[in-house]
Amino acid sequence: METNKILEENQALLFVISPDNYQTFVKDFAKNYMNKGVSCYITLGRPYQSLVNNLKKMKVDTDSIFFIDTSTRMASMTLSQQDNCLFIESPSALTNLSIAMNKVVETSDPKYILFDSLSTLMIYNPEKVIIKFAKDIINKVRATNTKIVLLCLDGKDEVNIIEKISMFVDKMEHI
Amino acid sequence: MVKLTKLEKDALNEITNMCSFHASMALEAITGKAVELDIKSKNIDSYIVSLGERQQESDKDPVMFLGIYSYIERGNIDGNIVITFKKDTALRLYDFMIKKQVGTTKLVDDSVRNVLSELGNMVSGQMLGVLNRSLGVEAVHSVPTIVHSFGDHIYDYVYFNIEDKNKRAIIINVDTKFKFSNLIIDGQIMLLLSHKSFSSLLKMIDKMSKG
Repeated sequence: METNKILEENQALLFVISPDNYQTFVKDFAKNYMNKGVSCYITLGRPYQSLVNNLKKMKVDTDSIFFIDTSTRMASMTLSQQDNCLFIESPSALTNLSIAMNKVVETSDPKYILFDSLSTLMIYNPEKVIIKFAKDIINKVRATNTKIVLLCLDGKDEVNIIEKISMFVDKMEHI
Repeated sequence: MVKLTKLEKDALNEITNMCSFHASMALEAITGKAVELDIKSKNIDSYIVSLGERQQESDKDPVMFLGIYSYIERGNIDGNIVITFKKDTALRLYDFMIKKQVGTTKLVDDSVRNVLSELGNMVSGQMLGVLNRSLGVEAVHSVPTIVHSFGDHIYDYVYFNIEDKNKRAIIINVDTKFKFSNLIIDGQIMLLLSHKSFSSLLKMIDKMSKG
């Protein structure tokens, strides 16, 4: 099924992406869907500044994207304040991540939240914690008009988590 | 495009070689085990990059990487040092270093961060020590932190906080293969120097060759 139709018909989605397709999928998604209205990009694996530079090169209007970044503060204690980004200390600070996401949903009413990615969460958090976290954020989004797109790599380490989280989303798609 | 003379290339390659040797010594000191270092000449590379054009994708494997990141916080050069391993390799190295059965650690917790950070501290210190002893560079690195990224996005940290977007910089890049008795650790050590620091480094190399 085409990504367009899937996004139109479902509110909570899990995209399971082969490592070879991952970068292309993320770029295409940002270019095709995050350019339309306000969106939220939760980046767990890439610092805000380099992500924004990359999106700008792809002609994506980053002014309408709100970012939640869990990478930059891991490398730097000194941060320049950004109007469109919340910096979380690390991908293991799940409570803070959840609070930040709620704040963005309440204040900006984004059309899409791109969660990039569950695989990165797995570096720092046990499976059962991630599953509970994913269930929580999906439930919170369900009370709003926002659609959430969770990304996960298609790897052997992720099999269990994909199986569990697929039960909470409306649709799972392999890319 | 900045062109290096043969002397400068040779000097940078020699420095890179020495950095790798000292990195293996740091590993030996931490683990208490003999480390064999396997570096082929083709794996040693010192190259010029344009920071403004650097978003070219590399052929790095599309897997998760861990990096040990520090920046030069004091001295007469500035730049970043990043030591990278595939995530699973980094966790195997951690197990080996704390004498745990290799392959049992699956998560990056505080203990993993602390042990790998200490490794980064020693390797980065040795690397800057080589530059100090051979060229008279004065540089002190920051406390290393553990970062992660998918595929070649790990390079984001090599360029982290380097503001000189339109100038050129140099990356001294070493592909390493550390062999313990029954464990092979593949990784990369990258030192990025800003354009200004790179120019200073070349001047130091020229001065060294003359004197």
